Amino acid sequence: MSIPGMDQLSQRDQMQVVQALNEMQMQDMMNMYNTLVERCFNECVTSFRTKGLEGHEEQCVTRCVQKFMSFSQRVSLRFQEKQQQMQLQKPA
Amino acid sequence: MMVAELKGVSDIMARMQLSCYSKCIANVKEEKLSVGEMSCVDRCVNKFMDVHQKVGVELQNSMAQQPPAAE
Repeated sequence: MSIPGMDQLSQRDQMQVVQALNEMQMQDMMNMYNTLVERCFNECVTSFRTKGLEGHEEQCVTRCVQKFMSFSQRVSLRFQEKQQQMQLQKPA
Repeated sequence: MMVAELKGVSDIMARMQLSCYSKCIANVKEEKLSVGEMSCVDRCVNKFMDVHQKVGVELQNSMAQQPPAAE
């Protein structure tokens, strides 16, 4: 990922930014994971008459994760497009 | 400063995902996004970013108009 303005920073500063970015990405992954668990649980697990997940609940969770991944990819794509568009619209 | 900006962007992404998911994705009966859901997501991202921009502009305007509070 190219970050605008990176080439204006010193080598050491660049490394710091990259480190911070890696940390953020890890945190983002954790957050996304936990959010997903909560969301899919709320959506899919509706009864507690058995201790383990029932077949349809397992399938629901699978669908839930796949759907979210497609959704997430789409959001990222549109976000990047919109950002580029907004950059072009900015007065020089 | 750059790190703060990056954090800001990642924050926008997270909030946008949250909002657009709750507004556009009704259920997970299908693992694929439906056509309706896809257009909803596209419009949601667009509107979210427009709101983001507009809020920035409005804030700037309202802060510029207010005279500094007299103590």
